[in-house]
Amino acid sequence: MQRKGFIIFLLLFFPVLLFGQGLKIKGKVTDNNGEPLLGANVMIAELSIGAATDFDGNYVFDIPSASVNGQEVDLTASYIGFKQKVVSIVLRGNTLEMNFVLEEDVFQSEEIVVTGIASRTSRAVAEVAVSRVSAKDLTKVQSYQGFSQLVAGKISGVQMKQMSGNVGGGFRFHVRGGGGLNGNEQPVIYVDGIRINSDAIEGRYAVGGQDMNIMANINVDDIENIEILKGPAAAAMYGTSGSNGVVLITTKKGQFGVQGSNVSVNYKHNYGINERSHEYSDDYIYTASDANDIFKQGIIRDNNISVSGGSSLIRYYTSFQNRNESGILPNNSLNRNSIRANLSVYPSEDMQVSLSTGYVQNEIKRPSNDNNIFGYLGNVLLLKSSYLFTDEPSILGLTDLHSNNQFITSLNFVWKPIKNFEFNAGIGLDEFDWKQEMNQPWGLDYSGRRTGQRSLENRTTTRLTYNLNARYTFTPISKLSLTGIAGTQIIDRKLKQNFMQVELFGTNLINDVGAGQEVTDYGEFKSHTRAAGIFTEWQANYKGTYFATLGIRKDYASSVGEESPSMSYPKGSFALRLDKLTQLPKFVNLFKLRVAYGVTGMLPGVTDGIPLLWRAGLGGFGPGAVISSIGNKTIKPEEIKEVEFGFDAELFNNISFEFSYYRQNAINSIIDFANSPSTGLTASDVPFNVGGIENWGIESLIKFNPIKTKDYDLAFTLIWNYQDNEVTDLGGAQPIFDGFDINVVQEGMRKHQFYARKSEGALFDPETGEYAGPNVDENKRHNLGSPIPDHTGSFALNFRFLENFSLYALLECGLNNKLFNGTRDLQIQFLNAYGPGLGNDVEYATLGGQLGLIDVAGVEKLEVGSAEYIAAAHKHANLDNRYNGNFIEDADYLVLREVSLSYDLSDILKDYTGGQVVKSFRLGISGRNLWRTTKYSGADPEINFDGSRSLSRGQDFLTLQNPRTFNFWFSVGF
Amino acid sequence: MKKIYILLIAILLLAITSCEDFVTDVDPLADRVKDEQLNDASQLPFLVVGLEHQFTITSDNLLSTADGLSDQLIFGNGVRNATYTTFIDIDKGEILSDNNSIGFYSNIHELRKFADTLLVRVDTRLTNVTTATDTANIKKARYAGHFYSAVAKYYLATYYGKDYTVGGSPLDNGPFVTSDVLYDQALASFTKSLEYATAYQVRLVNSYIARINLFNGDYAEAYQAASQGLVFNDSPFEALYNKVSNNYYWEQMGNFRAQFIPDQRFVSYIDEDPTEAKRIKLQSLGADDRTGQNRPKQVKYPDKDSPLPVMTWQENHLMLAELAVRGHGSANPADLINEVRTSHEVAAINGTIDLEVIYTERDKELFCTGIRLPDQRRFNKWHLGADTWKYFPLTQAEVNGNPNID
Repeated sequence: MQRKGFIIFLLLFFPVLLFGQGLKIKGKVTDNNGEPLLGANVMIAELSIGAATDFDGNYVFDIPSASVNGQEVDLTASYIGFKQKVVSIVLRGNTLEMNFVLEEDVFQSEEIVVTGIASRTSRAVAEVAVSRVSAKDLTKVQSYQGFSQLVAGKISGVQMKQMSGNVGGGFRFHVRGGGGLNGNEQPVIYVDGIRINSDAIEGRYAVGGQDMNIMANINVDDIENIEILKGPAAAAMYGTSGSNGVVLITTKKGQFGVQGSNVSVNYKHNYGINERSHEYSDDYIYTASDANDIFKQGIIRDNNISVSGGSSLIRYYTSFQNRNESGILPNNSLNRNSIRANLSVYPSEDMQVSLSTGYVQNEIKRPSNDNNIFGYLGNVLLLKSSYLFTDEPSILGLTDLHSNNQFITSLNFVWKPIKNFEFNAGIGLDEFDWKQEMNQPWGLDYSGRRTGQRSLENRTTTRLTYNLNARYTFTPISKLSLTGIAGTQIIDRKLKQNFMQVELFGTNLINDVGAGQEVTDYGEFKSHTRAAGIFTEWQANYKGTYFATLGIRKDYASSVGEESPSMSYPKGSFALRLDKLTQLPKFVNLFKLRVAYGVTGMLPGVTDGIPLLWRAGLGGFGPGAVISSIGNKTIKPEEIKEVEFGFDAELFNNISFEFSYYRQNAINSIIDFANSPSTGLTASDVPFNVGGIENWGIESLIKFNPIKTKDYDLAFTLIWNYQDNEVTDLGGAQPIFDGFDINVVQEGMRKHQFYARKSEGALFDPETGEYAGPNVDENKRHNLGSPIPDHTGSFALNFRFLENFSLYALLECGLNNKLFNGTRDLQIQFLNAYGPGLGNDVEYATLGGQLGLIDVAGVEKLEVGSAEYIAAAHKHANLDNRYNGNFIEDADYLVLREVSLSYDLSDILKDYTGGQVVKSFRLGISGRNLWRTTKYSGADPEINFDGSRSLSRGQDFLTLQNPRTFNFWFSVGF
Repeated sequence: MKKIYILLIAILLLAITSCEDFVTDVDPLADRVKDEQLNDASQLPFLVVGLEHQFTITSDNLLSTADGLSDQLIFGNGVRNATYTTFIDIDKGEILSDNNSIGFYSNIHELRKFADTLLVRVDTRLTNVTTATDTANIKKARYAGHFYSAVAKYYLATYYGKDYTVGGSPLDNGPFVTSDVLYDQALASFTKSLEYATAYQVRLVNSYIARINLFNGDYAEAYQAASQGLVFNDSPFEALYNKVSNNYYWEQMGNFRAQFIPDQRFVSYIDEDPTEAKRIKLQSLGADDRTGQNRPKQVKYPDKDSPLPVMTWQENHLMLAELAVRGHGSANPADLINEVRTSHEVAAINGTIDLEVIYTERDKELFCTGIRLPDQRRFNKWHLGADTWKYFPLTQAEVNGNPNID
């Protein structure tokens, strides 16, 4: 229980601080240009004594005579946006004068960032790779449709992938190598310190595979910044479920006295257009014209107003947003209203009470695509004649509406009863209600059903987070600063679902469930889980040069097995500021080496620890017992260890480097053993802690800021990542395949690798020379690459010119990326099934005609044995639809992801109005997915038909392309 | 100030010591129960119905798809909503082990496992056996356990195989067991079930025993059992469906979607003898407005909850008729066949009853019951090429998960 450690920690909370008068220290703080800095802090941390500068940049403070013993101490000057400067002084005499010239912190290396559940520091001294997106700055010059766009391409080691072009659709984080083998490989999400629901919901009445991410509820204009802890080395103190990283979202807070006023009102309007980014071609399918005709322009309208301000006692930020967005297909839209109210109260100098509250009401209409024939894509892509499966009025009539309400609130209390001691307590609630309503109207034809169907699902999730921690900093010996942290965290989650489906309506005019004659599906589901952890962490800072941290967390969870009730997660890290330790060339502004180690875990499934569960099966004989799941009472969390090392450097005050190498090793991974069907125990796979995987990779980030003047500011950012992994152990289990039997988890291979049968050219009749089918070894699967690129990167240009124009551009790329073209596979399946009259694959039909296998108008049979015949035979064989591997294609991509141009008219307005009423005005235009190059023959190389959480990865199966988007916007501040 | 620190220490210590209790104090699951909770005798009816439910959801999938592999149902090329390409492969007898339309293989083995574990529970783990009702329920459970274990083995022997022509299935992760051996095991279980059977159930079990022996070519044993099988006007033994758990014939091979449709000969049967329409229930799909094709669909199961007869007195009669033709028993095969036909108000037939007539009568009478596939095999009337599946192959999951299968 680590009680001893806590008692030692608490005993160290009692420092003795002495005050008095003796030595006067004074001086001036200026910037590089000699301009005085108002409000800069100058202090001796060791003595907890200091002062702030006045209007002229001057400071002065006294040190009590009892503390003046001729000793050497550090005098530190710091100011927001500038690099802190430390000088060594000797405390003797009556007066000491010390002036400081501070350099601008071009790369925000001294900005305070979160590095753990209760720890924070600056990038300049952090012992782990620190990733922050300044959302506030980005949304100032660009318009983003959702959270994933805000992060995409901005952070090394993190990829964001939208799974389809559905508005409000699901997305995946690819954080480093994806952690261990378990879980959904997604980071946990905190908003203002409270863990929130970030599930991707497909819904019981799904008609394809796409899910919707609850984070579509987030109003990106409310976000101040986003910080990401990318792996166990950084996230160990978040404990179980932190193995895929932790995303910390901080919302905006009120500012005190903004621009001379206590109240700031901002209004932003955005008008945008979503449009098709890929055009289907007659060269590939006969129905290209029909396919292109189904798309429309989707209109985006977004109005956002915020009011913020405050005083020395209270600060507030409030906002309201209404967002209407239509997708590029009919029946796909999002209509969201969100309200946020953040309040910070300062009842005394040592106390802060903060309330963060957000309420969202969101309605998303999902189109019917992906592995179903009710939607547009299935009806215009699969057969030569469009709308054979479902006629167009029926496609239009089918609606799939997802409405949700989410209320997230947190109350945080910070108390600093004595210097360097801070006590934090917080409680947060995430209440989430989701409702799916799917309608197949009476009178229209859905796969033979003409009498209508209405399906409802309700889902309520309540998640409570409790945080309690305390930190104390003291100086046991000269120039050594120690910080002790101890705390606890509790998370309580309840999920309730109920659902009902009704059929046999009498009219299309009334469609409430009471108007349907037959109830064809109904039921409910509940689950309740709890997790609790206690942790302690010790941080040391010696001479501002050496930094070290040790910590441990002990976790408990209701989902682990009876025989493994708790888990321990240690961490340790070290950083060395070489530029402080030794004399480096003058152009080296910062050079830091760092190494970190940490352990986290991934919890088993809720019922994994229960050996055998039964449920009620409901059929014609009545309700009877059938097996629901088979568990393992010894199950415990997967354990993921990570070592990370790297360096951070700044050169010439305009180049910044960040480099990290990481290696993750997961052990005790939960492998779900699929019993062979002949055992009769196939209600579920059986979990065992027998697996393992290793992930490794490098992350690099270079920023170059060659021009920085009042009128011009030019900056480039280059991110390049490499990641690889290998499944090291499945404990003897058979390979684990996705539902389409293509992606595999298998020892010795990368996770989710494509592993399928494929043709290896054609066979020929030895006597006649005629094509005799594909050359296939049906017992052999081929390693066909990965659906996750191993090299990824981005290049960003940020250019402010003529003082008030801002140009921003972002390119993203992925290499060694593969995609399964399931759409083409099915097109050829249907051609073979229905014949060339209905087949829609131009190349395959032509090859069939050339080989004399089918009659195709305008195609002549080639001479048997000719080079052309042989070549056609090989191509035909390699498109045999029975073998999925034939449709796995190269899908590397280079995308011009974002371009925006904005103009800030605030200065002009100020000239005309004196800034009395309108204080700021900015307008801009931006585009997304403007250009792309790829070898992939389908519509989009960055999609997946089965949503964002499935084992199926990189599969395009009637999946909607991501749109090209244009936005026009203006914002005005009062 | 000290009080604050003491409070802080107390809070942290409390957090440390109470974590384990706290996380396990959660609401129970609402929709599932732990296995040991079902050991109470009062839960036996719930377990028996579960077995019946498993039998139900297994039978319709298996038997209808088997009709698709046989020459009775063909894939509805060009029929709207006929879209499962896995059905096309089944129709052609070109079935890969990863064909996901043959996944009912798992259901059959689950049926067997449920039945066997019910018997173990009754024999060794039951608690609170106090009333006469409990005792009666134990008898019912024992019957159900043996009966459905036998049905599962019969299904495996009849419909699955590891080669185009070699029937059978592994059991419990073991090596492949041929159909002959599985049939023997099924017969043993059926025989055991007789100890706990009602009078009707005795006749039903004997009809099953007769069917297995008939398929095996053991005609003397088949005759002996069929003689004690279901009799005229006995209720059919049916798999029952409801609005939630639908009959697969209705769902994929009938009124909802017509992916598999009857072979054209069933239209001809009715053309030749219109009274056949009383038992061969067909409906025209109409001329497809895109393909112009006019096809029939089966409406023997018109609704989603139409029951599926898996054993009838009519089949028992036809078995007796066949066995008589094969020289077993003294019954007049024509009388037996005509009694069956009359029960549907189909005109009686005259003339010599030979095996060809029997084969055709079974085709009509047992339309859409999954019997055609074994009939084609035993009458040696396979309709596809040599290298085609006469059974469903073991699934990829079995090949992957069973070390005793190549």
